[in-house]
Amino acid sequence: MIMVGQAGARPGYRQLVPLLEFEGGPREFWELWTRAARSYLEADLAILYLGSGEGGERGEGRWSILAVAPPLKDGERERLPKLTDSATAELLAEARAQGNALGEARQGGWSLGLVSLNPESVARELVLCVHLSRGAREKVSLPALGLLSLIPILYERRRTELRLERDLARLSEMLEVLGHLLGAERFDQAALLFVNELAERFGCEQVSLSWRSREGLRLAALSHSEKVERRSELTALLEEAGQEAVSQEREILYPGQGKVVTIAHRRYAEVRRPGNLLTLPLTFLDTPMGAVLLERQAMAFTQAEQWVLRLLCDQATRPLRDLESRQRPLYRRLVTEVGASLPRQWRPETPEGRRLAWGLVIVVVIFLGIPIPYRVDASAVIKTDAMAFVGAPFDGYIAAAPVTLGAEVKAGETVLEMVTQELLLEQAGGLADLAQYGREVEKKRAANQLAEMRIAESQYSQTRAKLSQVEYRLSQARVTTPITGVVVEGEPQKNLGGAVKRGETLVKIAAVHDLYAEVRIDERDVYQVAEGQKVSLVLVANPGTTAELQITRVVPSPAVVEGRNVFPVRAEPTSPYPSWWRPGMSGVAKIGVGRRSLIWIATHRLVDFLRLNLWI
Amino acid sequence: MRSLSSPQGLSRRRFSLGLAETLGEPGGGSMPPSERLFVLAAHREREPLIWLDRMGYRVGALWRRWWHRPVALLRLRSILILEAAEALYSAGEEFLREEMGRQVAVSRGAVDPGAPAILDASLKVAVVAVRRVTGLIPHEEQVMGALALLENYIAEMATGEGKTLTAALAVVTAAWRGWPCQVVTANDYLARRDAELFARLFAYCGLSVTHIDGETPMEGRQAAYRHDVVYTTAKELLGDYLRDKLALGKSPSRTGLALRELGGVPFAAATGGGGQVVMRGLQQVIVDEADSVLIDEAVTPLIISTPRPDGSMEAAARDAVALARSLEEKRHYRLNRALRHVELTNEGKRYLAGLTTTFSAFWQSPSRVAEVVEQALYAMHLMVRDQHYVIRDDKIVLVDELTGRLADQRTLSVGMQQVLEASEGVPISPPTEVSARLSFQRFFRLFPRMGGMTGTAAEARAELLGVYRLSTLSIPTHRPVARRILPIRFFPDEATKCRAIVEDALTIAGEGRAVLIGMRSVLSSETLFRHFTAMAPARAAGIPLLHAVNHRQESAIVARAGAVGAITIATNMAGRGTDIALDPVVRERGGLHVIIGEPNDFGRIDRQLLGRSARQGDPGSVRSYLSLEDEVVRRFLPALLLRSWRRLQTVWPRQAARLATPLLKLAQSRAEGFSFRQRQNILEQDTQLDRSGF
Repeated sequence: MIMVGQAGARPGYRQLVPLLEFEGGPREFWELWTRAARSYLEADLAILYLGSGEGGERGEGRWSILAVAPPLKDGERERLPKLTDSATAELLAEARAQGNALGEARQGGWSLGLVSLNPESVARELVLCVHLSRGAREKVSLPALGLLSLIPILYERRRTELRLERDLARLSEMLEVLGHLLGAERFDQAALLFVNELAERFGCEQVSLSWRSREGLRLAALSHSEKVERRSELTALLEEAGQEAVSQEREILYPGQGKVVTIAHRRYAEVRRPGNLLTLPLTFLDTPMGAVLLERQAMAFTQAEQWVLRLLCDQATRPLRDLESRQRPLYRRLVTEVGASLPRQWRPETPEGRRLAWGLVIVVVIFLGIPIPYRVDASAVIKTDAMAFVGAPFDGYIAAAPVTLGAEVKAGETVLEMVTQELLLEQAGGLADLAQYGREVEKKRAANQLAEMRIAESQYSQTRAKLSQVEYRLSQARVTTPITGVVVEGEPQKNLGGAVKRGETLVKIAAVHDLYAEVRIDERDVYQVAEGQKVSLVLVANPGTTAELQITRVVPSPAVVEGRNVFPVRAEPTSPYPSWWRPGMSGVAKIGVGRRSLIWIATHRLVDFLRLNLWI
Repeated sequence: MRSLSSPQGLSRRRFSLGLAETLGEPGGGSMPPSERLFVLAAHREREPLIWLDRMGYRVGALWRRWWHRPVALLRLRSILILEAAEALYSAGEEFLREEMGRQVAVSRGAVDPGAPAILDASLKVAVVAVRRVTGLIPHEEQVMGALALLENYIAEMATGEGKTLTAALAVVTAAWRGWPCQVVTANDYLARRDAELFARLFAYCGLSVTHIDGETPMEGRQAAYRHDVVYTTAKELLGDYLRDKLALGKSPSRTGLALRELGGVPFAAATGGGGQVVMRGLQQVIVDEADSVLIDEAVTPLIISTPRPDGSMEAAARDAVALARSLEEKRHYRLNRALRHVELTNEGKRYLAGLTTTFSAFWQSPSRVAEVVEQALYAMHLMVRDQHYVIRDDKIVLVDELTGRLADQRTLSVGMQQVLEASEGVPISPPTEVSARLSFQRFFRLFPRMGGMTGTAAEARAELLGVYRLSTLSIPTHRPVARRILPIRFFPDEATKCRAIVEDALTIAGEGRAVLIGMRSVLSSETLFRHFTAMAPARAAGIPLLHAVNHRQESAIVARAGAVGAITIATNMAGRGTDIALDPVVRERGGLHVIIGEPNDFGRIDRQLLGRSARQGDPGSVRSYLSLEDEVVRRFLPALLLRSWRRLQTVWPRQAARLATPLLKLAQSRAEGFSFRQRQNILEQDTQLDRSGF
C-alpha cells in the first residue's frame, strides 16, 4: 500500500485519503465521495446527479439525485435544484468534453464546479455539481477537480482487484475440493469427504448428500458423522426434499420466493429448523443422480454461492457416479456393462426406439420358440411285392420273344419260345425207336423168346420215358408269365437265336399293383420315425404331384449307402396312387414327425455333433 | 478485448458495474443456476438418430393409426375432464385458488409431467379458470385439441373451431410445469393479438405472458423470455436461438457458462462468444398454423450474416448487368419462362469471352463469367417487379411468393441480390458472410415437446411424420359441416375467367350473400379488380383489396367481409387468423361464398381458403375457377399434356372442361412433390453443412 504524504496538502485532503482504500459498496462510496468533495473544495453544497442522458446534446435528460452533502433530511430533498437549473448547457457540455469545468451558476450567484463521469454507455452519466461561494471559488482550480475525478477510477480498480482476488480464491478452493474428491477410493468415503468440505468452506451446520436408489433418493453421507442412520423420520424428510429438487431440476432455496414448489422443504424445516436451506440436484447427462442439501443458520445463500456450488456439484457428480457404480453388486454391473457395450447402432435413445427394439426381440424369441411341424426328408424308391422271374426252361436257343420291355402281360401269356427243332427231331427219333421196339416186342413174343421180349419191352419203356422227357421239354418251350404285370427287365427279343442256359433269368416281370415306397432314412433321424406317420412323396418322374403315404413298417436292419447307414422304411399309399407309377422310380419323401421349435430345427444337428464329439 | 492496464478503458467498463449495483438493477437475474444452464440443452451437438429410433417413430405412428384409435380415447378423456370441471364451476374463489396451487405444485414436482393423469387434472383446472375469466365453457373438441397438443401431436382442427382457446388451454397446462413455453404464430400481428387476447386468463392462472415480434428491441428480449409464456413467430425464435448460439461460442459447456455467470466478462473471453444469451431454453412449443410454419415457410433456412463490404463484388455486379444487356435472346441465351430457367448458348459464351478479354482477373474464368451473366439475365428477365419484389425506399424488398407478403429480412443469395440491385439501379448492398445458420426443420426438432395446430394437415401428414416425427390427429368439428363445394369452372384464358368471376360474384352478392375471392398474387388481384371496375364501376368502389401488407388493417377489412353483399378480394393468406363473422342475413341466404380465383400450387392452401367459409356449422359454398393460363398448370403439368389439353379445348371444349379436376389434381400433386424434394434437399444440405463444421 502506497502511503500518501500529507505535507503541504489542503486540509480537506485528509478526507480523500480513506477513499483510496475504501472497500465498501458503491452506494456508500458515492455518499462519501460527495462529502469528501464538499469538504475538500470547501464548498457549501455538493450534489451528485445521475442522468439517463435521454435529452441528447441539450443535456436536458432525466436527472436524479444520487447523493447530497451535507446530508439532508428527507423533506428537504425536493428543494434541491435540478442540474439543468443550476448549470448552463455550455458548462455541462464543457464538463462532458473535458471531464470537469468551472463556471457560473444560472441563478443565485454561485460558482459551480462540475465533474463529469461518463461510463461506457451514454445512457448513464454522473455529474457532481459543487456550489462554491465567491471566497471558495478562488481557491479551487481545475486540477483540484481533476484530482477528485480520479478517485472513482481508483475505487473501481480496487473493486475489480477485490473481485478478482475473490474469484481466484473461489476457483482455487473449488480445485482443492475436487482434488480431494478425486483422491477418494470408495463411494462412501468420497461422499463424506465432499459433504465435509462443503460444510467447512461454506460455513454450514450440516450438509447431506442423497444418492439415487430404487425408491427415489437415499441418504449417502452426512457431514461430520461417520455413520448414517437409515430409518429415521428426519432422514426420510431429507430424502424427500432432495427428490423435490431433483424432480423440478432446479436448485431450491428455502425460505425463498418464486414459483418453485417447496412442500417437502417446508416439512423438513418445520421439524429441524435449519435456518436457510439450499438443495442442488446432481445430474449427469440428463440422468438424475442425487441431491446435495446445505443448511446454514447465519446467512442466506447468495446468488454467487449458488453458482459456485453449482460448478462444484457439476464437477463432483461424475467421480461420485463412477465410484458408486463400482460398488454395485456384480450382476447388476454386468447388465449395465452389456448394455453399454452394444454398438451404437443397436442402442436406441428414444422411447419409441426402445419399444421397437424390445418388440423386435420379443418377436424373434416367439418366432424361434413356436413349434412348427417338422418333417424329416429322405430319398425313396418305389418297389413292389409281386415280382416274377422268367427264365430259360432248358439249355437251348431262343426262337421267339413276343414281348418287349415295358409291355403289359397277363398271367399265362407267352413270353418266350425256345427253339424246338432239335426236340422235334428227337421226338421223331423217339417215336421211330418206340415203333421199332414195339415191333421187336411183338416179334419176340411171336418167336416165344420171353427173355428177348422182356428186353425189348424194357427198351420200349426206356424209349417211351425218353420220349416223354422230350415231349415235356417241348411243352416247356413256350414260356408263360405266372403273373399279370409289366416286363421291367430283359429283352430276349434282342437275343433271338442266342444260346441260353437252363435257369438263366431272361425276363423280369413286375406287377404294377401293390406298389409301395421304400424310404431310406439316415440313422440320425430314424429315432423320430414311427409307424403310422404320414409321408409326402414327390417322384423325380413327375415332380408336380405329391403322393400321400403312411409308414407301415420300419425295417430294423440298415443298409450302407455312400458310407452312411440308412434304414429302409416301408410306406404304403393311403389313397390310390397314379397309374404311371412304376417300381424303381425314385424321389424324395418327407415324413411328418411332429412339431419342433425353430430353434431346435436350426441347432439340433450342431447340438448332436457336439454331444457326440465333445460329450457336452 | 481491451487491455486491463488502461485506466480509462477500465473505468469506463467498470463504471457500469458499479452503477448497476447502486441502482439496484438485477444483473444476471435471480434465476437458479440450473434454470440458467438449461439453455445449453438446446445447443448441444446432436448425433443423428439410429435406424431403430427412426423406425420406432414410424412404427409407432402406424400402430397408432391402425390400432390405437387415439381420437376416441381423447374424446373420452375430454368428456371426463369436462365433467370433473363442472363440479368446480360454482366453487368459491378461495377453494379454486387452492386447487390451482395444488395442481401447479403437482405439475411442477412430478417426475413425469406428461403423464396422462397429471395432464387431465391440470386441464380440468384450466377449463375452470377459462370459465371464470371469460365465461366460456370450452367444448369437447377444444379440450380434445388441447390434449392432442400436449401429447405431441399435430391437431387438425377446421378454421373457426376456436383454435386460439385450444392453444391457450394447452399453453396454460404446459406452462404450469415450470419450464419455458413458446407459442409460434404465423405472423407478428397474430403473436401480439393472441398474447393480448388471453392476457387476463394467464394472469388469473399465475402465468406471465408476453409477445416478441420483429420490433422488439434486442435489449428487451432477455426480459421477455423470462416470462412463462412467449408468443412469437418462427423467424424471431430461430433468430434469437442463432444469436444465442453465437453468444455462447463454439462449444458451450455448463462449466463455461457457469464461470461466465460467476465472474463476468474476463471468463467470457476465455470461452469464446460474448454478448447476452437471451433465451431460457427450449422445452415446449406450440405451433399455430403448423403446416404453414413447419412446411411452407421452412424452405429457407435462417441465416445470420454479417455484412462484409466488398468493392470488387459491386463492380462485378454492375459489369455483369452491362454485359447481360448487350446480349440477344435466342442467339446468346435461351429463356424458359415457365420453368424459370435461363441458359447461355455456346455462341453467347463465345461472345462474352470475346468481350471480357480486357477485364480483370475475376472475369477470366469462363464458368464464372457464365454464372454471373446468367444471374444477371435471371434478374433482368425472370424476376418481375411487383410480383417477385418491390422497390421501397431505394431498397429491394422480396415478396414471398406463397403468401403474397413482403419478406423484409429476406435477401437473395450472395451475388444474386447485388446483381438485381444493379439492374434496377438502386444502391448495391454489401455482401454478407454467414455466421450462423439453421433450417427451421432442424430447429423445431430440438424441442423435447412440440404440438401443432392446423386446418389442413392431411396432405402434409407424411412429411410431418418423416421430418418432425409428429403424428397428425384429425379432431372432428363441433358442428357438422354444411359447406357446399360447387364444381370447378374452366376457361381457356385469364380474361374470360376474370369476367366470369366478376359476373358470378356480382350475382351472388346481389342475392344478399357475402363473397370472398382469393387470388394468388398482388398482380392478379389487381387484374381482377380492373375487370370489376370495367364491368361494374359503381360496385367496384366498395371492394377492398387485401394485400397482406399491413396485418392490422387486414384484420379490420376481413372482419367486415361478412356483411351483406360484401365482395372482398384477398391475396392468398391475407387476413389469416381472423374469423369472418357473418351477418345474420348472409347466413340466412346461404352464407359466405368463397371463390378460388386461381388454384394454388398446393391443394393445402386451396383448402385453407376453402375453410374460411362455413365455419362452425354455418352454411357456405366454394367454387374454383381454372384457366389454361394459370401458373399452376403452366408450371406443373407436363408440357405435352398441357399442349394437348389446349388443343382439345379449341376443338372440344366440353370434354376439356371435364378434364379440369383431374388435371388440376395432377398438377398440384406434382407441385407438392417438387416442393417436398426441395425441402428434403435443403434439409440434407443443412445437415451436410453442419457436419462439415459450418
